[in-house]
Amino acid sequence: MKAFIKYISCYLPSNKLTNADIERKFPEWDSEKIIKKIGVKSRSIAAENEFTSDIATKVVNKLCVESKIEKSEIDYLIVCTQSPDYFLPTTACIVQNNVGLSTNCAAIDINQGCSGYIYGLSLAKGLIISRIAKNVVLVTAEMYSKHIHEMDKGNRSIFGDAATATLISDNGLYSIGEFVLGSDGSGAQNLIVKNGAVKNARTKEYGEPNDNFLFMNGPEIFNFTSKAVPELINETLSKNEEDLDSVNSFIFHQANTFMLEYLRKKINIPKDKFIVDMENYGNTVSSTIPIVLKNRINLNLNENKILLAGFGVGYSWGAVVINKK
Amino acid sequence: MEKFIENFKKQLEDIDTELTPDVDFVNSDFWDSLTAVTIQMMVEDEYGLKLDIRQIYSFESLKEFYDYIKAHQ
Repeated sequence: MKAFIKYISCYLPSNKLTNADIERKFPEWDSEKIIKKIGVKSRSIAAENEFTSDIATKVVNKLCVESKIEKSEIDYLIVCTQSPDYFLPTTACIVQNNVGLSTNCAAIDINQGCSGYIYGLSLAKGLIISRIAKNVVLVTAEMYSKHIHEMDKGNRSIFGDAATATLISDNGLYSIGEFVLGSDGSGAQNLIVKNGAVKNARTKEYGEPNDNFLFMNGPEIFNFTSKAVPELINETLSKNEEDLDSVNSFIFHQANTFMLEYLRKKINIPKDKFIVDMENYGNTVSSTIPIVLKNRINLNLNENKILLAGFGVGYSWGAVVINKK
Repeated sequence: MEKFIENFKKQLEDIDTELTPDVDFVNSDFWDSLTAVTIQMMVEDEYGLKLDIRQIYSFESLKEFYDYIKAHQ
């Protein structure tokens, strides 16, 4: 018994934030050079009254139309998000009702960021192989824009909002291979929204970026990534009995192009096999990998083996090789 | 010192950038906060020294930077 990625759909909110918008907002910031290095030209940003359940609902509806799966056939819904509508209930239950999925469909959220798609695939594979579910829909739906302070020019330049839905089943396009997963909570403070949950209440201060908003220690995250990712890739290749030559393409979490290029060089992945595709989206957290994978599938390239790797907030990381049937 | 300049160059976008020991790298056109991070990691990988980013910004020349590494290794 194997589990397969059968179909992927993507949804991008219609509001865009362009580099010109950022340069207008922060005229004193020499943004051009940095933005060029980050490699993003435009990001989708959710509207003020648009929330994670909304974009998750839209993308699941889109998946049902595009993949032609009947809503009644979906029996497990996983929503990966760090910007849920509420503490409780789980966003997935709201989406189940909005979409009109069967009440026999299980629904659960997972809280994971840049490694979320890989973690989600690992859970979906387990559900299929153990015959707990026949058709799992894995949604990644993230709105970091809701966590970022208006004046935080760095994070506003990097992150974009998006949602994706992947249908995982016992047949399909790419079989899901062996996983390598990991976590290290010693880095928890380096990418965090400290206030607003149970431990620290949200305060009333607003003026400057503060603990009510997303904080990212860029250098520390970069440092962690440069140490963890090369090892992650080597372990994943060896666990799947592959090597740098036998894999057709490498899709990493699209954090920023500068970091991607640094990692590519460090691991020695040839440029033509290393996919960078974030110019029009920004870093959409758990959605970057499925967006790039969807775009690759649309290109109809004969890519038999693709390595997917996610890493970041937590810290957490994970990678897998997928194989064309 | 030569080896240090070589290692430093490898982290730059244009790896053919001309560098001398006297260069005030922090105030050079090629310098930005992302480059600073890769230099920080290079120093850790090659010289086993974990520097604070702010420390790197305090050096007025590559020579001063290199002397600091030698003294603290």
